Amino acid sequence: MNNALILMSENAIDRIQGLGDAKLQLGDPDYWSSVGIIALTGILVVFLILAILIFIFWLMGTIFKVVDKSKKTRAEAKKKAEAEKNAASAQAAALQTEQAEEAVAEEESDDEEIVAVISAAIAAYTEQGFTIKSIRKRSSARSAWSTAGISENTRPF
Amino acid sequence: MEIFTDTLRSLIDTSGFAAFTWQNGVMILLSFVLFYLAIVKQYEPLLMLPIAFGMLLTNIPLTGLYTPELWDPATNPYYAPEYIEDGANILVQFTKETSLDYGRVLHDGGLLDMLYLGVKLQIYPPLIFLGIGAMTDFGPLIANPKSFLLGAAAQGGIFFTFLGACMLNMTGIADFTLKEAASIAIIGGADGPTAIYLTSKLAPQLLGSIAVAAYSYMALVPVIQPPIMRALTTKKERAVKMGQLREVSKLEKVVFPIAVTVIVALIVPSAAPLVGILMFGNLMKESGVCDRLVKTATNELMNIITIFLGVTVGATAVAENFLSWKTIFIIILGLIAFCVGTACGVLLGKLMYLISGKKINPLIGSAGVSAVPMAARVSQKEGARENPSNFLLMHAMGPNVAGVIGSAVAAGVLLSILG
Repeated sequence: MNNALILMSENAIDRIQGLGDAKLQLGDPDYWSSVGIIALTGILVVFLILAILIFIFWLMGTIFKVVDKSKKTRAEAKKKAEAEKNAASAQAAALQTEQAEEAVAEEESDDEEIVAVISAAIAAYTEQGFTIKSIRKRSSARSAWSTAGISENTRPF
Repeated sequence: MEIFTDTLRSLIDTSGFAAFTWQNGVMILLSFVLFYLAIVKQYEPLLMLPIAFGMLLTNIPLTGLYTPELWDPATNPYYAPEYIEDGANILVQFTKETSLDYGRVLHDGGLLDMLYLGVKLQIYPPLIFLGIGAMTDFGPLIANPKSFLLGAAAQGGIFFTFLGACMLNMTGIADFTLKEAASIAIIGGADGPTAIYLTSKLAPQLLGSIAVAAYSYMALVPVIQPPIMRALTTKKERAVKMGQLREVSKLEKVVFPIAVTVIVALIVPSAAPLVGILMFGNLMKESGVCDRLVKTATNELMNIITIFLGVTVGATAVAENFLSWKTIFIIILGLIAFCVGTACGVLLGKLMYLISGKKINPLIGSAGVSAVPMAARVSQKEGARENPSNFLLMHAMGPNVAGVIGSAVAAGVLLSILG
């Protein structure tokens, strides 16, 4: 493409340019054909290059869409499988917690002050009648560092 | 007493008044007009103000800040040495070349001469493009590659004006060489750095007037474009709502600048300094790993270059170059280039509206003349006028950024044919 441009410019256009003065340039017999060729090649090359870019990015877009789609379907399939698994384990878990709740009822809650605070908090939140069956410490409590981190991050809110 | 008057007289002789001509006066008044446009009207003030001040400085005689003679090969020619072996002796022969003697520029030049080196040696415009690339989001263009066509169509104004300038020669009232005609035509690209880049290579004597015209019209985009857009489209076309653009992944945004550079630089190598550096800036941004460089390119570096570019381009507007009929023709032809570019974009937008089954709003076509993001905002505004719930901005940004690539490619093509 570029070679074509150079080839073209080697003959008439270069000769006209060599004349220097505008009036002399206008007098050249090839003046108008050269002007036309410059304008025409100009707009054509601009369109050509941008058309090539359209093709390439259209291609890229389609490839990405296909890849995205297959990724999505794979992710969806995975989610479905996981959901099924979760449902099964949730049933089992529900059974277990029921049993556990019965077992731990009225246990470990010897600190009456804490019980009072927690009941007040729940009462304020739910505004309904309720009974506290058990209060248990979470086994995986946050470390002092992560508590500090959370309070740091949530302070603005 | 006599000593006193003598001293006073010699002081007056070395002052600017002694060498002051009426042309200087007119140019200084013109710079006041530009001050008004920059400060009161706020037409691209970041560039217009430095340009106006450069113009003021250069037209005060005897300051020595800018020396036009140093930048003309006729008055400051370069003699290339040629070494000829003659037995034991080496003879040196000097041949006159049509380039400048940069040694003399460094030796005799003033402050603005030194800064002008960056324009003459094509350093500033690509560096501005680096910052523009680092600020531009090509996402809308990647999401809708068809926008490239609109960015190409709007360059029609450039080539139409090239023909127009040549035809003006025929009437005998103007005499533009091919190089000058091409430099004037590039105003239609609506891209300041590109116009300065091409003009400083092809027709440096017109740099001042072309830069002033280009930046004035870019500031006037919201005034120039709407009447053309309304005249060429129907109410129904303007009210078309376009669907949401798809989301573009990061990988696509990273691949884009690399692919554009390879393709454009291979086909039109002379466009590489503009497009290549533009894409380099964009890659720095999209890669997300060069935050510090992006910050420098878009803030400090770009501001420094803008100051240097503006004040030196203004300084080239010396009376002998600026006060001629050519300047008036440049201003008229520049306006024609802008209008035709806008019209070409809208007309192709109309064609795409018909082909796409009335899904594309032709108003986004006018954004194909670069002038980022002003032209896209005009499309948005015109669309919202017909239908207040119409949001064309992101759709118009596609052709808008494509226009930047398009006008840089157009400049590259003109350079490779005429340079």
